[in-house]
Amino acid sequence: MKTRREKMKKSFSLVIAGTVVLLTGLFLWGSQISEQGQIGSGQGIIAAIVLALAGLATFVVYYQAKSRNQKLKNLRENYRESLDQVMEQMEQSALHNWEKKEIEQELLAIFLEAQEAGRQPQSVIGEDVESFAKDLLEAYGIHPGILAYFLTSTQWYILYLLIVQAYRGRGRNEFAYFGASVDVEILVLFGWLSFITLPLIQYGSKGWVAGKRKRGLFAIFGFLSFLVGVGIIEGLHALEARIPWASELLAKQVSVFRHPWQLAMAVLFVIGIVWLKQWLRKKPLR
Amino acid sequence: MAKQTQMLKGVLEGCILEIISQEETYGYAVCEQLVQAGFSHINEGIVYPILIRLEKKGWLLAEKRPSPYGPKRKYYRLTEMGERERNEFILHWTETKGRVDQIFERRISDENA
Repeated sequence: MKTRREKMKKSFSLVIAGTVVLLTGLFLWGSQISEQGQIGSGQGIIAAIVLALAGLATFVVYYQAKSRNQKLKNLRENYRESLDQVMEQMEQSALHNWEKKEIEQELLAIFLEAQEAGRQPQSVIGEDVESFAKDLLEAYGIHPGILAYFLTSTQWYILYLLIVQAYRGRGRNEFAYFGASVDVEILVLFGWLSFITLPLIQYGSKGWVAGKRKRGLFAIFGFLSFLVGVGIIEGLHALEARIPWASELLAKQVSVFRHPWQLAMAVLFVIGIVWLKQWLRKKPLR
Repeated sequence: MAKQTQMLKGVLEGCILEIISQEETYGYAVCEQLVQAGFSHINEGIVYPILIRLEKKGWLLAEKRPSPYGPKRKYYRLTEMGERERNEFILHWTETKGRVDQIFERRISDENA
């Protein structure tokens, strides 16, 4: 049974997440307006889209957790705790979402039956939850570690580049479509988003809605980290008159995909990452 | 200890294949049968990853069906490949058991003599 405190905590987390998204968006948008006197450089719009996506992802995670609570309502506290411990390990792994759901459903069925038989969770999965989780991941052919994080973040980064290309290249003729130039600061910001902000938000929001307050703070750190990234760039802008390399860096522009083959390579690279992730799991492609 | 665990896992795989070959069943029931057979220290935490591994290998086929407690649970049955593996396990186990028994019987008769 969900307590009033839990309900309030979840509503509170939703309000905080929404407010941070809104404020960050406004901050970024405002900085673009004041810098250029009008909206339309593309940077503000892209950043707003990215923020909207991040906000949407948080909402999705929140509602998924809400329906999860409904499913787990018959589970007693000690079993709920054990299930959360196992699922926390699963969440951090490279398992597909449908596999995580499958595991949770199967464990829930086992736990409910064991609970009915008057058993304790330790008699079901053993004293060592981590060892059980490791066995489970091995059975799915998972190699936990930094590689999965790196591959996923790289996928995000390439996706942003493709969005930039699609936006900056629109309206041009077919010969000039490629080679749209983008400020270095935007590319750096996308890197920050892909490798720091989004992983933190993803990791933290799942923990927050699962009732892990310490882990949940990562969601807030994630949003704040975006502000830090923006802050660094804005700081460089403020100092560019005094620091020569800062003004050089900020003035630089990079062509994202100068030739069609570069675009094709990027798409192939994403496909390659998907394949590599599957291959690492020692199982055939689905 | 690690080697013992590996050996146990191998034996359990064979036993699980045998249990499932007799009737379509689910994880919790498989575990209960193993405990009843004398594997008193076996729990679902050991059996469940083995079932997943066997399913991934294509030896078991799982079908989700509703359970009386609410969430759906997986019912397993043997595939053709699983049936072959089960027969192979029985063959290897019988051979190995025969050899091990022979060694221990010789030792016991030496001690008695």
